[in-house]
Amino acid sequence: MQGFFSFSKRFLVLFPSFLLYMGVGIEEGYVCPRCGNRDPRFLGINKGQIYCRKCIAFVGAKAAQLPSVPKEVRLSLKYSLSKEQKILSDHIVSNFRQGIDTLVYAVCGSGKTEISYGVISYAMEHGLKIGFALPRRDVVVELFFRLKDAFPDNRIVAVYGEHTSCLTGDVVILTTHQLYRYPHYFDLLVMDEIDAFPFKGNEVLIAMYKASLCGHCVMMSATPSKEIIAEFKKERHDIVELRTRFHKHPIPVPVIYERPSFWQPIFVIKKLKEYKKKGKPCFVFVPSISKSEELYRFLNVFVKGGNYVNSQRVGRENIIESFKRGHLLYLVTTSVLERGVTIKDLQVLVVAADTVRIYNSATLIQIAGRAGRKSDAPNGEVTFLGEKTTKSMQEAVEEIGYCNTFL
Amino acid sequence: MPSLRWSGFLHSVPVCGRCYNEMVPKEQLFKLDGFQVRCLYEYNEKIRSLLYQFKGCNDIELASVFLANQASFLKIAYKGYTLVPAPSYQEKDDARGFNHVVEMFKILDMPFLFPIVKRDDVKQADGNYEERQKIGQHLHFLLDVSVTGKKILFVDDLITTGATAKACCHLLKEHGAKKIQILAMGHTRYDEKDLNKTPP
Repeated sequence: MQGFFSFSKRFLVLFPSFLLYMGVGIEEGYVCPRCGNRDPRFLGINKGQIYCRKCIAFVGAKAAQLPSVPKEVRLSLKYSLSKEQKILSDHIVSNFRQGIDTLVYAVCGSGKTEISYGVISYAMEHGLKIGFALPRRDVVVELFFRLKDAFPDNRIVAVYGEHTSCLTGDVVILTTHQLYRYPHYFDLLVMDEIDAFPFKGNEVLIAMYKASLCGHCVMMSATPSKEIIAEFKKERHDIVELRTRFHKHPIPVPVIYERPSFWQPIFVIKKLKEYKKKGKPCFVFVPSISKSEELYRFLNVFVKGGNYVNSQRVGRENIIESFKRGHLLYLVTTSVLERGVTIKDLQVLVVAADTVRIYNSATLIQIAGRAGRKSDAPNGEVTFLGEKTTKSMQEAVEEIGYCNTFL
Repeated sequence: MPSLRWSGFLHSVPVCGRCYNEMVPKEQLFKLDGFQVRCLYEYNEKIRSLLYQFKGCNDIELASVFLANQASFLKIAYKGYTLVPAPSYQEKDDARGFNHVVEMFKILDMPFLFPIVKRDDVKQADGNYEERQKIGQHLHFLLDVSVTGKKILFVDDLITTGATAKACCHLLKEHGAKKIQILAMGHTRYDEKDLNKTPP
């Protein structure tokens, strides 16, 4: 994109009359009623009518405004909440009753989802409309089954791309892209992973989330941005923090190795052989889609029994499923698997962690949070490989170390 | 994205290199029943989503994006030709507000003729191979439009089995067109499995 801008600037200097062509025929100050877009470059005219080009793809059936009735709720959990989780859960419920929006700032693997069950069952008992929004589709599917187990008597509905036949239920789990179907609808909206792509910084999706909410929200994140924290420091907003994992073991602190880039694959092979002996599964994170295939082809020569996934890979659900079952030894992946994945006794390697464009500190913290999530395997090894140590890598290590001091 | 709007107003501004590469320009020349066909792009995810936004979501601003980079070449290559767009169902065009093929090829600055109409709402994308070949039954040639002795360039957005193009070109030939060529934006492979695909 940068290349284009310099190109267009050159044109601007040569032909200033270009400026006249921008936003021709569109009056000043038109604001899209759906997404709040007012940039004339993203407005168009069809049939003499102005339309917004940012939210044009969000067309489809809207959810019916059904009157909801109080329901009986039976919460069945296979395990009990820890003391901290219980306190937080009650705190969120009391906040919701007083009409206060809550931000749950909790580390990876602390059981954020379980904390929200309290407020969800409270809202269901009072006959309110509940939504659970997440940016990623894979995570929506996983959460759907988790909630179904937790609330066996209630109707849980998952709404995501190509799966939109049923739009209403006791609890609606949806991707943030589907929020446009629920204008002014939810009395309680729980949002997880708010700092994840594509929700993060996407004005259209943020506008849609605001439009769909008519009650109060509970936001959850392990790595909230400064803007979100600033917003929740205002009046009628509250931040609750949880700095320890539910199993009371420290979060694995990443180890940074500085190696030249040609040496990094060889380092990965060494590590993979070590993990193979111990029988531990491993994620190898790479910064780009093309790299994932490239590195896998190289690793496959030396260490058999792996695979690679990226957002373009067809049938990646099956590959991830077989990895979870333990059929695969390692998985070369892009950041698609950076969050929402829980695998027992997982080891993590990050190749080219000094790629600033992809790996900011929040992403690295999320990646490191994949390790040691289960209480029966609380330890894991997290390795950052880079030619040099970047600020993000340093920040991630410091942040995780800081959280561990709360034990 | 910002470049798209610009190119809509100024044809000399092409699509930015990054988008152009994602669209995978791959020129393909082949013969279809003796008619020369030229396809400009391989049909891929980028083209699919762009076409969906253009045709399905009625985003008319995208019209000139598809041919912006090749327009100057095509103008020279097809000098003296008259464009005949693929027929589309009138009511659909009214609902959309524009004819997508006409808007897409307007950038070539060539005269249009509309001799063929489709009277029934049949969608080629829904049919299987045999059904697609029967498209000729739904096409009608308007006798008040003369193509006699003209060089005709039949244009369409996508070419899959080529059934529509074949039927239209035979119709044009019967009514006395001097020379007929076909130009399509994208070339899709006909695949039985793809039929059940739904847009995002």
